[in-house]
Amino acid sequence: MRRIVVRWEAVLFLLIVISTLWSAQLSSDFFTLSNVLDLSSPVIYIGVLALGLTPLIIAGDIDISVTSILAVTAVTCAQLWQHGWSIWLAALVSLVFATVLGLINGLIITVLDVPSLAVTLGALGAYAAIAYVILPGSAISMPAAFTNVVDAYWFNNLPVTLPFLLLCIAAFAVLVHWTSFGRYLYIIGSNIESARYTGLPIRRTKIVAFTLSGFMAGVGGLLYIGYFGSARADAASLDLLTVVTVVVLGGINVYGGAGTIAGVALSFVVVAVLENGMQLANITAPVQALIIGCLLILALAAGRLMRRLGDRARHRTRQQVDSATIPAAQAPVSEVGSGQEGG
Amino acid sequence: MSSRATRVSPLEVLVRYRESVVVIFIVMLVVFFSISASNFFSITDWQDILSDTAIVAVVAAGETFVVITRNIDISVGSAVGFTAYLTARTLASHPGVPITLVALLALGIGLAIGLVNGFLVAVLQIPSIIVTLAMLGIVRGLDVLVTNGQSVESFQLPHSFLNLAGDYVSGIPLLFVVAFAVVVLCSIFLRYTRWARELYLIGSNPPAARVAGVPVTSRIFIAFALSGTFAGLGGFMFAAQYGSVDSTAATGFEFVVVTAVIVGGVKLFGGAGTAIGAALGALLVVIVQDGFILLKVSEFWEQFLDGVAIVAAVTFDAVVVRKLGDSLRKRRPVSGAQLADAVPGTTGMAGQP
Repeated sequence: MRRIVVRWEAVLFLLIVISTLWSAQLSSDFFTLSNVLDLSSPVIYIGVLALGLTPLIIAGDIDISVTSILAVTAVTCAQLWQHGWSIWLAALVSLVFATVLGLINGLIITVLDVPSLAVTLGALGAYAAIAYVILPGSAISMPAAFTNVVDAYWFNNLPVTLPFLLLCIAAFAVLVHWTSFGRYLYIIGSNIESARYTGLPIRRTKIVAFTLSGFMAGVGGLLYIGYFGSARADAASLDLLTVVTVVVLGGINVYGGAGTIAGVALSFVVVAVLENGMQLANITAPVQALIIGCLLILALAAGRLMRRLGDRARHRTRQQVDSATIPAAQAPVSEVGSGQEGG
Repeated sequence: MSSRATRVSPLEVLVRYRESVVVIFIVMLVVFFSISASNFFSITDWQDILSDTAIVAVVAAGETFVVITRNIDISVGSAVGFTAYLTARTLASHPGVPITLVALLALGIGLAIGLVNGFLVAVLQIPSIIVTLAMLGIVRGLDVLVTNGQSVESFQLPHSFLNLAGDYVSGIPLLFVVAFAVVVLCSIFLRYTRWARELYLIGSNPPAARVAGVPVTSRIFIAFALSGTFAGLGGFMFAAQYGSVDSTAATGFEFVVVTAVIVGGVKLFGGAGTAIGAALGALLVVIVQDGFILLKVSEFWEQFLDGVAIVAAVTFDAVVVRKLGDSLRKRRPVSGAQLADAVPGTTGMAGQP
């Protein structure tokens, strides 16, 4: 596994170089200090969502409702402010709301033992609908008091959001790689049966992971309206693909149990550079999605091909590969009726 | 013990004939909407419902093949929109082209999309949620590039084409008859062929399928090819029904299709479900849609309900089946077949090993 990770980060570095070269040739302004520092600003909410999603995916689950939670956060904050609340109180309440939505996801999935894809697919639609119900009309512009804080620059060039993002990355790196919570995530994701038998708090870990994902979606929502200056119900509705790309491209195995925060950070750089280049080239949003989609598929296909060639070189049979990579969810018959999980 | 073993609980009936739950809900909804909305039972309204259901049902039938194998295809919305536009554009620019040829074109494009999906999921073993999420964006992007900001309006389309949606067979819309035939064929195929039975095995126990010698890769590949082809047919029908098509056609349609499939009893964790169930789910979703429009409820509450319906259906399947498994085990010695029925969906994703 370690060898694959090291190799994958090399691929990411290569991608960073390629995307940088491509974006740079589009505009001579690319390599200015202010542009490079500002690369992450338009997509910081994507990075934040991806970070929040990573622990979940490591644990073998998924939450595709994060963009909807972002939208709900955005419109709730805007509507509360428009109804006279202080913008900061509105932001806080919306953040709590987002966290609660993530908690709801986590509870349904763990307590009722329902597959996370199905629940978060339903949540994606339901939460997006809630966002439209809260703000059915056109956008609400955010007050300068708020946008000036989020969209601020230190020393003229450094956007405030960049050190904030680095802080988030560091925090998640510690959480995922240096706490027992993080270790539980990997075990739950790679071998849920052994996690059960060793008495890991599976349910509690998953609930925390989903709640954290909701929280980060809320943070993303606030960053979104702070940067773009307005809130609409369809905020980030097309961005799920980009968020998932950042996570999966970063080497996080979708079945769980593998990947690093460092990988996610690197793939975020790739995507940020790419988005910057596409902006400079005036590419429309649907076509941007096309490019991101192709990037995701090509990168994954390349990764799988590399793996297959490596397996072939090491003479591993398909059977051996399968038993190593089969998601632990396919438990044998002894699983029947034992729906209780530790925690 | 023998007398207790022959008693069948109502719960067991609901689970074994999951489709009956959908029928019950449909009846309840029809009653509810007839009472609360004045024009619900009118003939023209019913014909609209059947036509809309036809499009959803066809795509849902294709989706069923994929979901049975423990995968998912969320690119169908973009596929429907893309093929709908190409269908309309071809007919508008070349009015002399025979309609059957255009239909084949739509099927072909859908098939092409399905083949790409199938290759990436079955051969390269990339999880289907990722592949089809990416294809959703890619196909929609292609759609935008191809439309180039233009749209096709219904007056540009030949009458013979638009009549496909307007024709009736003894009062029933032609589109619905076509969809009905497709769904019945799929149901027969899924229930009585060995090919299909192996498909169910792939979804319920992938390692067992491999060990049993089932050609998993080619089956999953074909499942996605079918899903894409059916989406192409759906796009053709969409163009006939709505006439005007632009690059935003069928946006979000995949959500409606997946709702129909899940509510219709096709388990997202694979290994169960029928095309009839998916079609009934389609009918239910369209009835709710129509009822909400008549009641002047915001369309977003309908989407909210769809989301809740997905969660409710999957929870029902997980919780009820688990409870049933528990009670079955208490009642009598359990056979392997019953165990297979009663295994709950665990927390995992619809993916593919």
